[in-house]
Amino acid sequence: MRGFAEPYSFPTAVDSANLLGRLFDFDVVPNGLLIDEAGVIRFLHVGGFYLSRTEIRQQVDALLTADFAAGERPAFVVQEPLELETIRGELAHRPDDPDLLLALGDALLREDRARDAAAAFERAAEQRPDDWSVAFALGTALRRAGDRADALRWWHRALELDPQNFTVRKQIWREEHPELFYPTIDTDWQREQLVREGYRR
Amino acid sequence: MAATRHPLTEGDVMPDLTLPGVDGQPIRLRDFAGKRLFIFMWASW
Repeated sequence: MRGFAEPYSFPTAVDSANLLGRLFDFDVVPNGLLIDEAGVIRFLHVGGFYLSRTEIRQQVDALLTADFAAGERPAFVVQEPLELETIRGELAHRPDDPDLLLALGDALLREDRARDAAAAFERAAEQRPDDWSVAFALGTALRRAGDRADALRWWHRALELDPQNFTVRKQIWREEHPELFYPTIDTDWQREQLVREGYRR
Repeated sequence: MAATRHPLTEGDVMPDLTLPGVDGQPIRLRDFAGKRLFIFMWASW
């Protein structure tokens, strides 16, 4: 991918907790997102955003050089992630608030406390039993805690809630069929598996 | 009662985020304040 990015530089981050997926509620990749100098989201494209395609790269170039009228917004409005103590203080007043419980889980994951994070996400799942992203977050925390069986159970639950979710589906595949992902990715198997599973997009 | 979630979309202000880099060092969105930032989201699988 690095070759596609010339002349721009970039770092690569790992979003194993699916924070971006929850913020934007996307269920597929690759996606493109542009944030302007003032921190405003100017462009979001979910799915099929392949940088290997010339027309996509041209679109990115255009976005990076476009003249956005940033208006009078303050420079980059920063919303700090909530700290654990702040979240706990808020939870004392709103113990069942699912957003607070999700924030608690995220904060605990940042401290590598996966088991505690899973407990927080499980409480969030009780409040939002039909939200695939909460089930997915719970599964991800459990997997990080080493509880593979329960992680898979929650990821399958997430897929039940959102049957066309490509991200969840692939996470399950990778866990259940690691030999098809390492050391090389068997894309033929993935194409055939999508047909077997009746995936339509 | 559960609060309603609103996925972010165009026109919204991006909240700050910190994610680990591939080298383990944190990458903070706020460090890019004042710059135009394109985020490409992909998966290795």
